[in-house]
Amino acid sequence: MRREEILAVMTQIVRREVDDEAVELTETSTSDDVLGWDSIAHIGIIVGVEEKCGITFEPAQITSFNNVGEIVDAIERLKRAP
Amino acid sequence: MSAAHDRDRARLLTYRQACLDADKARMDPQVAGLLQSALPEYYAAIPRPVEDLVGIVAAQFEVGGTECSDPTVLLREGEVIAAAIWFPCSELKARQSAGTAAIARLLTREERALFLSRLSSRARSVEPIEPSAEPYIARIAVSRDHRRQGNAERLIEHIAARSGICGLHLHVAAHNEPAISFYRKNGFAFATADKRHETRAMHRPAPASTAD
Repeated sequence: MRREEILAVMTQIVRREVDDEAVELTETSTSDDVLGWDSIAHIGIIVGVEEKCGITFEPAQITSFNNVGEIVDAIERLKRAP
Repeated sequence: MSAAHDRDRARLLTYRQACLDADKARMDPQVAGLLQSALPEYYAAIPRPVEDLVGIVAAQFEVGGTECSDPTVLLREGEVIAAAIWFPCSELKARQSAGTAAIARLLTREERALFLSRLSSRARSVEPIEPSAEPYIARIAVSRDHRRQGNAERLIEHIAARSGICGLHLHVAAHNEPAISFYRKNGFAFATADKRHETRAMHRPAPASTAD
């Protein structure tokens, strides 16, 4: 998956989890930029992304991301892992 | 059997060590049931039949870094009679998120949405606890036949002894008078006077230093 594809997947999932079709994400977006992206919605976003991308984040990673770009980085790394 | 005799024969160890000793790879349903009973409101948010919940707790144990990954148990003649889980307050958010994600992965998308929606309502009524190195007691439970014998007290003192000279933190349901009374008898007090939360924070201060 290319970074743009991952970002598109994330946008789709965040829209669903916060119930707002107007959400637009960039790599510098943070949870504070999206109304409704709280710690519980974050779990839905993380597990939704895992399902869509066929990956599983490490437990400690889940709350470690500072912005969307860091989630995209982690997804790329996990997709490359054997 | 007398309470004193029960205490004498019970020993404390991590559940992972107990599993190794007994050559078990998975969490015993009885232990999972004990941990579930320590936080019924949380597990009630999972839209699955009660009989599925024990397996869900066991799954949290199997994933590292969750709230249920590192229980300590009180073992008597091979039987777990009490269990507790604690970790630094600074790990609370990460462990709760990892544990909730471990459960969410087991659910369908519809079940997950309902589970997270119920948790979201609950989260708003939980009094926050500041991150620190002091221990947070996430679960503490004693099996029915071994209650009122000092086993929960023994677990609390074990946690205090293992943690050195520092305070202890926990959450309690504001309506759970027996639990609040028990914690008060063991040196805990409400962390704040704020009565708005359905789940309140309690704190036991660090013991006074005996150094001259």
